[in-house]
Amino acid sequence: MYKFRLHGLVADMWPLIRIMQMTGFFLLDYHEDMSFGWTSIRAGYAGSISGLMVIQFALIFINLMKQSDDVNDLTANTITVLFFVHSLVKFFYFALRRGKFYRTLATWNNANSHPLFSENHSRHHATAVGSMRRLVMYVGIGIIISGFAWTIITFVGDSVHEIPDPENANETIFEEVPRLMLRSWYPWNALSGGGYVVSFVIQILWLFLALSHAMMMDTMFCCWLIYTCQQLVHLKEIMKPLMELSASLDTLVPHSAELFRAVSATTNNPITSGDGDGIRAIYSNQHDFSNFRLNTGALANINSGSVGPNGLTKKQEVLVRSAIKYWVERHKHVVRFVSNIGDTYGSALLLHMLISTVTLTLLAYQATKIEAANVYACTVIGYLVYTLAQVFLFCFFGNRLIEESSSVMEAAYSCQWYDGSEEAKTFIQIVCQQCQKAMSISGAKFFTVSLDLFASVLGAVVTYFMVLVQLN
Amino acid sequence: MSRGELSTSLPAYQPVNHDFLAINVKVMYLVGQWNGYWQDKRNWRYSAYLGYAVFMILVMTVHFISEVLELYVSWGDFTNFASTAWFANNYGATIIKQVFILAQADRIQSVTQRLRGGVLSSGLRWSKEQDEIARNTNRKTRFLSIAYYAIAVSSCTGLIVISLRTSYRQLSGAANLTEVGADTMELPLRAWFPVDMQNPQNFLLLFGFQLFIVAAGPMINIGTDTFITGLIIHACGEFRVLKKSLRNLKQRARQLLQEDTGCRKTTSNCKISLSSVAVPESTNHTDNHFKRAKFCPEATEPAHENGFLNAKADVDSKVHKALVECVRHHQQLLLFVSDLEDMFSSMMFFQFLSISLRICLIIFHITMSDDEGLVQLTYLQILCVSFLQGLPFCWYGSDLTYQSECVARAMYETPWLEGPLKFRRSLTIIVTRAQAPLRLTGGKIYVMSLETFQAMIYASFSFFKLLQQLSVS
Repeated sequence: MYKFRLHGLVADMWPLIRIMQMTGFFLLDYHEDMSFGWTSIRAGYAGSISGLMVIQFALIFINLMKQSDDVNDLTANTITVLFFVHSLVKFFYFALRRGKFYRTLATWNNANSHPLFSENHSRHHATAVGSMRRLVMYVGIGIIISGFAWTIITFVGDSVHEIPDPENANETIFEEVPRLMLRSWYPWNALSGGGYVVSFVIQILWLFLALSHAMMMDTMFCCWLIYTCQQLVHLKEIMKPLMELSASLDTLVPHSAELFRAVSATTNNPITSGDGDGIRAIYSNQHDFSNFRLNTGALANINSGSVGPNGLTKKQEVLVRSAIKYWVERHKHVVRFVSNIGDTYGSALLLHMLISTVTLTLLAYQATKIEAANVYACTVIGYLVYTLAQVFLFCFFGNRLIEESSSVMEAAYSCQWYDGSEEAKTFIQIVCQQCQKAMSISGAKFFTVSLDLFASVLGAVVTYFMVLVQLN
Repeated sequence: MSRGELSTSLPAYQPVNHDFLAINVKVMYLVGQWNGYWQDKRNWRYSAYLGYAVFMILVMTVHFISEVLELYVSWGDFTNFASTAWFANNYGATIIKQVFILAQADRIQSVTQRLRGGVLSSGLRWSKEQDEIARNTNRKTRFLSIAYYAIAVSSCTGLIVISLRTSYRQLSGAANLTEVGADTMELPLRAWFPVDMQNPQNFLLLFGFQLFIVAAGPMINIGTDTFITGLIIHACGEFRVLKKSLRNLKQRARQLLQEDTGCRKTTSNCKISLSSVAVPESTNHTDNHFKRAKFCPEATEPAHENGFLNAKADVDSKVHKALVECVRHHQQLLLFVSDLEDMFSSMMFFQFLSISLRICLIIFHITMSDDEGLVQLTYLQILCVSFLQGLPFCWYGSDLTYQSECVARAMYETPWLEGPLKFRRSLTIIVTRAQAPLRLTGGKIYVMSLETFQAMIYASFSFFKLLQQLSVS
């Protein structure tokens, strides 16, 4: 019987996971009751929401085809279509790559720990969880405000569009369109009465769902990055006490393997789900150092009272070496996590950037037609700000990851390593060389997610705008 | 340097404290940016100076608002619009700098004190040549600051003289006010005030106000710029000092050994081993590999082997100690540069954001307007000032990156081949760290380098074309 245990990253990101399940993502795992009945109900719920999303999107697309004569209408409808393609793409991306998402979420199910650094670790863990929850809250508030702003602006101004006058080919008249958030074709008359109410309800539901689909995936990505950055900060902070501890360590290398192999059998934690071979390969043995008992096994052979050449007892030497081992293994775990994230989400970022580029080009064109501060200007600026904000969100956290990972070397160098033992210096040497290259997330190897990307996107928009203004 | 002259050849060097960045600090002090009593917050003088700093910010804000109103009022007149926009932009940047520096005043002063008598000043220098490098750096800073001030002063004087030229006739009452074609009185900087500006009393009042603004504004702006540039130049200079230390590691080891044995009472045994240890660098070291001698020539006196081996270990440890000094210097320098980055990054972001706009506006004004003589000259000087607002940062930012990478190359020139394993391991760590390029950025997006400056020039050219298009249409 599968025993549901809320632990690891899933426990930390629990509000986000619940929101994703409620908005209809195919996140069918992580429930108490995984019986066939409930699972099929949940799958049905997710399936019906995906059906609603696809059908409404298809209706918007049909409307685009019908109104493709007028350039202004075509541009406006294309921007709307591209804007909501994000939601569909992200929704189905998640559905198709569920396995990778589950694997990434399970990465931290079996992390090592060390008695010396557990306090520091729990402090940083709490900070990470707090930041993640705050981010989810802000993004949620942003989605709600955007949804309401969109609905409110629908009721401002005239709900009309220009079409050529059927009588006089050179003139244009205004034809009424339904006062709805999105221009969409419906098989019923949506201008007034029951049809209007039904369309309005469908659209408002669809709008909020679409906005959350797009943003919740990005928020999950950013939460992973927040967690990684906090782990890196933890590693940087324990470097200094580690060096101070090893400052008087002898240069002899004991048989570390023998020392650590002997721990009682009850502390063996089998790896349940998750990364399989991957994470297991990082740790040379599964033993949690919190159960470190110095009096068992081979350690009993060591005289607990004997003092080493530098005034340290054997126990202390073993503790220091275990601390270095903890640091290295935790760092390897973080590197593995980052590569999992890149694997899982990289292609989604690439698709996002491709679609956003086209959207922003069209928005630049629309912006050149702004004459006064009216509804049109507000909508164009609203679209622009929202699209740029989406790109900024993941660029900001990607940049933070790059900065934190490259500062590990600086932290290693700035402690008093020159006073340490030869073993500690070798450790510092290898850490410095390994951390020279910063860890970064790439969009399927096409580009690196950083603030440089955002700056180039912004620069491109400004350039297109200036060129189009000159052509006008 | 022969064996016999060992004890007299290395004079003991007394580190001297120089007053670095003196002129920059004085300028900042005059305009309310450098509180001399920052360490004693309860002193009434501290609060008085703080009040003065806030008063300067308010004065600048009033002027900035008056210029923005002028821009709004005279929309459409493109030639004067460009120059007014330039001044408004500059005073806006001045206010931002004032606010940022006031917010971080304590931190800025404590970081600068590291250079002016603190950790980075004389504590890590042990020879005359290093001191020379530091003094040269200061001279360079002084020269740059004075050249920049000179251009700024001459352009400000130009502005005031232009304004006086158009208004003195009115002020002295020499012309009949009802004469057709009489000049209107112009202030040095175009600004809009809600009073009648042609009234002589009002005009005199406003003229006095603008005189103060034209004197104090550039002082704040340029004073801050030269101060920050001065800090960067000193960081580059300290890297040069570090390189010199690394290249002369053996010399420093000998100096330390000398100091050490100078304290102890030396026996004749030690004296002999000492003289066999300290050898000029021109000695042939080819036999060393086989004898595994560390930093010492061939063992010539087997009878004194114990003493000799002790001396070898001594020299090794002294060389390691000298290396540790260099590492500490490097660590302090890296800390200093990261502090600079933290403190000035946001300020620099706004500066870089607006530099391309400023360059484009002033070029636009010069090409579009048909000024002649003094006016043209003044605006050309203002163009120089615009370039100088960006170029020193980018130039010395590039220099800093280059200098920090040179440390890795200088490590290669230390006597690592003869050194023990301990020395070589420390060396790999330092080289790995030094190879990471040290960059100063503006808001993490604009890296202070010459490539950024090139990009800014291109951006200003495209803005210029855009403005030209808009003015024609």
